[in-house]
Amino acid sequence: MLEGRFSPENTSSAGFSWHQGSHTAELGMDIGHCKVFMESEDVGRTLDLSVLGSYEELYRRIANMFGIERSDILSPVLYRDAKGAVKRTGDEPFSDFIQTAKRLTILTDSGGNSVQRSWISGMRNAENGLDASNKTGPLSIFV
Amino acid sequence: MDNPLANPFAAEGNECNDPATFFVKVYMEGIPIGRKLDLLAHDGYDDLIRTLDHMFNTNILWGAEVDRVHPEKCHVLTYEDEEGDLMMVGDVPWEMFLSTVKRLKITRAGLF
Repeated sequence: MLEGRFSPENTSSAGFSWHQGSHTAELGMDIGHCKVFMESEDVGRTLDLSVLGSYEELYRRIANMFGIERSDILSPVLYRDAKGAVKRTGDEPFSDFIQTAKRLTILTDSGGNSVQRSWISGMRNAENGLDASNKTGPLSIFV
Repeated sequence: MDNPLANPFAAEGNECNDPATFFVKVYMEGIPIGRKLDLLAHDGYDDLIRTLDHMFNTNILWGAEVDRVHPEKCHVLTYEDEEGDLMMVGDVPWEMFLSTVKRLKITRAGLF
C-alpha cells in the first residue's frame, strides 16, 4: 500500500502539510521522490529513488513503469537536480544522485517498438476536452 | 489542540471544528463540463477512485495497475501539480499528493 511508505520517521514535517502554500521550497517532494518524464508522453510518473540501489535498477524500474525495454532507454539519462542544474546519470555516485535528482527526462531509442508503449494515447487531445482540435473556444476546459 | 477529536486539517481560526475541505476540479476527456470533488472527504486513493468511478461511470486505472495491462479499465487518472506538470495519480503517498495536486484529469487509456 502506498501509505505504508509514508512513515513518520521519513518525513520532514514542513514538506507534508497538505495545506498548499505553506510547502517547502521543494514543494513537498523531498525524501527522494523524483519526477520521471518520457519524451514522447505527456504524463509523468513519480519515483521514490530511496528504494533503489543502483542506476541499473533505476533504468529497469523506469522501463517497467513506461512499458518499454531497458534497451530502449538511452543512457546516461538527463536530470535536473534541486538547484535546477542539468546533469547526467553516472556523473555522481548513485547515493549522491538520489539525494539531489528531482526530474528525469528519458530519451528512447526510437528503433524500439514495444507493444505497450504509449498506453496513454489520447492525452494530447485531452487538453480541450474534445478530440483533435487545438482551438480554444467557450467550452474549453483547461483555461 | 486540546480536543483529541479535533480535525487536524481544520483551517486556522476555525473555532467550531467544521471539517476542512479541499475541492479540486475534475475533468474527463471528451466532456467539456467539469466536476468538483472534495479530496479531504476521502481517506486515500482507493476511496478517491471509487468516487470518481461512480461520478463518471467508468473504471479508472491508477497507480500500480498502470504498469500492467488492464484492457477492461479504459481510463487513466492524472493530476496537474503545482509545477504545472501532468502526473500519474498514485505514485506518491496520499498526503504528499494532497500537498501538490491542483486539479484532476481523467483520460482514455489506449494500447497500441
